[in-house]
Amino acid sequence: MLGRSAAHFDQVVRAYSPELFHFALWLARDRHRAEDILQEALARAWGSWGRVKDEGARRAWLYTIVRNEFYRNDERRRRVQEEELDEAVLAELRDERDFTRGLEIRQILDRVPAAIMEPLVLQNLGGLSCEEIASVLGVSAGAAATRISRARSAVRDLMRKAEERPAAARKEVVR
Amino acid sequence: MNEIEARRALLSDPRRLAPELAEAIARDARLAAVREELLRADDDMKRALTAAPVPEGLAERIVLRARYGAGSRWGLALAAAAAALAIALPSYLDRFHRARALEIARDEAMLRHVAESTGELEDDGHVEPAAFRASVARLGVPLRLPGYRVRHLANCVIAGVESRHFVIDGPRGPVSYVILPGALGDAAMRTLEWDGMRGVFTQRAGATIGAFATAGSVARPDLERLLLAVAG
Repeated sequence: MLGRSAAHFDQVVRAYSPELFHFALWLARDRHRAEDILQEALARAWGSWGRVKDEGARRAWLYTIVRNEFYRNDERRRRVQEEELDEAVLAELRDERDFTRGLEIRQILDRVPAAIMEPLVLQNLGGLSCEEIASVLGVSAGAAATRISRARSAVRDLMRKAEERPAAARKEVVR
Repeated sequence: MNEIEARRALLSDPRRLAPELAEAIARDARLAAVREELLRADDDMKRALTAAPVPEGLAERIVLRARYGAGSRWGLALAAAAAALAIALPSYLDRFHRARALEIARDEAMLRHVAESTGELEDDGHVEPAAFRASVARLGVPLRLPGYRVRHLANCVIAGVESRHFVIDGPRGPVSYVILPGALGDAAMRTLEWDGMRGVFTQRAGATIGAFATAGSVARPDLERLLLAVAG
């Protein structure tokens, strides 16, 4: 039984570690921290591997553990909580002309507050459904869908503004 | 489903379409165009989110850490050594990948140790050749005397293994060396960079030997020459 779990764990880690790494990297914005978060998260996951009975829920469960591991960091948690999740933040971003000058998609992803972007990143990277995202974030499916819509609207608006700028004015951003 | 409802549903998920939404899109070319635009934006976003390369050997390190309980990424060496003894690996390929992941993790631990141990760059004066030889000999690694003044020599523990760290006055500034016993035997020279610090690594007598300098101060070929001058 243990051998079978171990083999299954190996298989899941190999399948999902790239996308989970990119999720951790988006959260942490630092490769070394992202790897530390991922290693610690999956060590925890291994500790309770048998608790997930429905393999269909495995992926969302892994995202939840990675996310929780990241938010253990108090400094980051405070920073995200301070970001207001309301329309005013998005409106401010849309109106920030200096910012929209020379936008690149990575700048957009970095700039939209993490609390707003997170459900969209989960959908985009992990292909999670609204229900799965709701379970990762601990909110209702309706609330998850609303957040995703708002994030997508914000990104769409900013990308349109970026496209309006001549290509020569854009800056290459190296993360 | 009216157009406003359809647009709202598309914004929340343009890939998973409920039958009602799919019908609405089939009926309305504007909705179909909105969906196409959203899918293109999603693809752009995914490319940006996944642009960074996944670290080599990541899955192996995760498995080793989770299953054999190393304290941290840098403390992986002991866990991996235990793992190597405890597991009968199913194939040569698996053995190769795991050994390589372990060596890279050890190299990273050495590099991070040097980058973070700025105190080791302090000049302690001249370390006598006899003291240098005796200290290194205790690790069982035969090294040549560096052709430059050894200004610092320290015992340290990296990845749970007793190691040596010494610093010379190189031709273009200080160069650190670290000797970390417990190598698995891959003799190929490797280079890693982290936080402005460059390290080149090789193996001798069951130990990994690394030479380190800030990336801007010593070119990689020079660093390799400095490593080989000591490692032989």
